[in-house]
Amino acid sequence: MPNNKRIDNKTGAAVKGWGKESCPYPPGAGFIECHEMKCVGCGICQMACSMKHHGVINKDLSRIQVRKYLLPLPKAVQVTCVQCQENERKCEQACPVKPSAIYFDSKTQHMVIDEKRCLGNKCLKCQDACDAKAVRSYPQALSKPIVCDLCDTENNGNVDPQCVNICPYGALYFLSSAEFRFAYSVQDITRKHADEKADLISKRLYPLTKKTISEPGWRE
Amino acid sequence: MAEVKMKLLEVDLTTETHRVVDVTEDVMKYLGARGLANKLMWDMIPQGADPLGPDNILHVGVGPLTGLMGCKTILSFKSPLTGWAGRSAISGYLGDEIIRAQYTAGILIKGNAKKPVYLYVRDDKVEIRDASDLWGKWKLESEASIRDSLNQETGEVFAVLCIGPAGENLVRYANASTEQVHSASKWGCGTVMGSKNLKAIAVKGSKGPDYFDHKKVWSLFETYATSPKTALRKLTEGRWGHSISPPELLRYAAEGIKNNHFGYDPIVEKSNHLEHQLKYAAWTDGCPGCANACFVPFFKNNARRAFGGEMRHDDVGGFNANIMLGYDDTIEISSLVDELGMDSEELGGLVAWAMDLYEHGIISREDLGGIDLKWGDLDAVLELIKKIAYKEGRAPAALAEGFRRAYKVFGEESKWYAYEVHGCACPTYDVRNKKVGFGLIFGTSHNGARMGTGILGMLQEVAASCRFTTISFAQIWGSEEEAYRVFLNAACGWDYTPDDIRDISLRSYYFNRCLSLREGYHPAKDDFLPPRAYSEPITDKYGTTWVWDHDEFETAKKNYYTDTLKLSPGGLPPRKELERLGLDFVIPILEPMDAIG
Repeated sequence: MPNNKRIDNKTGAAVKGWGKESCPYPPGAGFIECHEMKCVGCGICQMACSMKHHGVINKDLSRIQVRKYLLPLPKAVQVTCVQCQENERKCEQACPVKPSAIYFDSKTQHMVIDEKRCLGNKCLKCQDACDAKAVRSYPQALSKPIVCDLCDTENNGNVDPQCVNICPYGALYFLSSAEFRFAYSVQDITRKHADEKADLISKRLYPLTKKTISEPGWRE
Repeated sequence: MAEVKMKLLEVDLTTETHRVVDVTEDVMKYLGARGLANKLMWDMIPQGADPLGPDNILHVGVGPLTGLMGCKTILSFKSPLTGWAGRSAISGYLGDEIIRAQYTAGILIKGNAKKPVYLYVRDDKVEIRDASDLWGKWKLESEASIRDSLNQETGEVFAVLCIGPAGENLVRYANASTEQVHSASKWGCGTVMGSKNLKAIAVKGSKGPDYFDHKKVWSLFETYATSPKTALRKLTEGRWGHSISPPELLRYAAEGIKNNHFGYDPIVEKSNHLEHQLKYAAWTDGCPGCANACFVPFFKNNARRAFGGEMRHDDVGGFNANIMLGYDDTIEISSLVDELGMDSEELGGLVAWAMDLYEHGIISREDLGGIDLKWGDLDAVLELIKKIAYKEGRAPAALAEGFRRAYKVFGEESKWYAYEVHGCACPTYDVRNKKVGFGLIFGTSHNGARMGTGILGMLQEVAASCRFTTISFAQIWGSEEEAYRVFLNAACGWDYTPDDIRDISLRSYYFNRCLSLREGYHPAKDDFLPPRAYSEPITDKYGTTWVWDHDEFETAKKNYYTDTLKLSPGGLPPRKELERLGLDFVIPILEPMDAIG
């Protein structure tokens, strides 16, 4: 038997996971925020995501993505939907179907793709419109694009993001407007393409342009 | 749940063709990576073949558990340095991409290309592409340009394993690396790629791994990822990576000091891992499927240059105090060696040896192409390393061939100063130190004096998993064997018993030893320590003195053969065991060579 039992001090029962489960996610608006500097690129979040939504381990079937860069040190950067505010939702605005097939469900407070009305892989205007490219598609197995629904697969408001639950480095967390000290949240600022984030991180190393990063000046 | 097929991608560079072979039966018997590679090498490489010729093969091996228990890729080939069975292991996400392309048994590369090429693998699409414009470029530049161009072409991030100038120039201990900090260094993996005119291998898979029971695998994996055991281990691994070991070992006479002449010198106090981390550590990075994440790359920037990489044991072990430099001074050397693409441990031993020879007048300044190679002279060392990679000058060209071939150039009197076992430098884990040193491991290895050769790590080698991650798995499931068993059964749908797992490990060890025996290794003539290990005592910082006595070593070796390695007292695989494990086909070939116990 696996020797991984964590015992609840009060009840004496075995507890599974990190302990995040004992604090349910608060209701209301929220999104998965990435801490790029904590991310080590293990991809366990992707495995959890594809397992939850499709029942298989396949990182390409995951709504959250981890991209590996060479800056020239290896650095992993996550990409996920930040459940933008109304005026920022470029995917929704770009959708040719009216009303939009990809939309923010104001009852459950997360993005939803209406599979019946979505035009599928031949369209993908939502993906092109998103700055972060957080809308994903996987033509090998899916006919429609996918987007982060905070693991509320039933769309009844019970969010339970599996990637946040499992991330061993605490590089992902659920930033909720109920817990955040401001009434508004900050997703419009963090919505950047992973390439752009990687460029910013590379500034920590040395102020060269992207082209010259691959030449660390050994031959001067 | 469909039966899992183990697919091997076979690429022939001579004919520029490829095919996919089903090797499920072989994988069930030998498992993947090094286990399967033994079989491939035994069948495909003719006895006594030239390691740099078209007959040699390169197996880029993964196993069913790659990406689940750490992520290793094991490259197997006939070593150009020793002429025996060689293998290099590399971390990073190369193995994960191969698994996601569903080549669960890895990629096999045969033949030699006529002109420089690189191998492009994207799921089922396999191409041999021209790499003439990359030939001669340094490693980081080559890797970045392949990644960039493929990213523009496909929008995907490829894993690229590539070689540097040393591999192209057939330096016998050249390496191949990916992502700057991960290297497949041991026994000349880059040299084999260079001889095949293969600059790089770029892989991207998007099919996802082919597991028998995804739900079961996930529930096992979730247990690991959220276990408190993993959490505790993660804290130290994530902070220090493995830069913690060299400064510690230096105090216990386990790392070479001044070409392994001493056990302690005040130079080891000059800097350490803490100073290094506070000054230069960039962030923590890990491999796919590993919650421990043990890579802490550094970055150092000065007015002229920028240096990046890793300061693990294998990156700096042969350098620092061995050439009379502080730990942090090695940053520039490590970065340059990574860029040129050589095995740092081997090179460290050779550079220290060259310094010793220069001090004693056995090689001259002219031999070194005008370098005044004094102890602790950083610039001289950097200059020498560049010359070795390009084989410029009499001494650097000889050093590029490794110890055994260099003796012929430098003469008999150079032998005393060399610190090598089986022709492989062993500056680290000093063989005299009986507590933390690797005297018996190096002295009985059939691959050459390096880690990862004995029976102890064989399971990790055949399952292509990481030995650091495995510690957490062993803590959770009680033992390594048990963890491998439950994961393999879930991932492949097989029905392994604990005995099967033990047999697989033993079978792969014997088979690998048989391969080396076939290629000329014999314990009776090869398994000795360098002369200095018996006659030159070393004393560590705290006053413990270490040295071997001849008889003492012979007795210890015999016990190690029989007790730990399960061999005959002469260090040979026992006939009964070979027959029991289904390796009887090696007996007719090895018997005339007197290599069966």
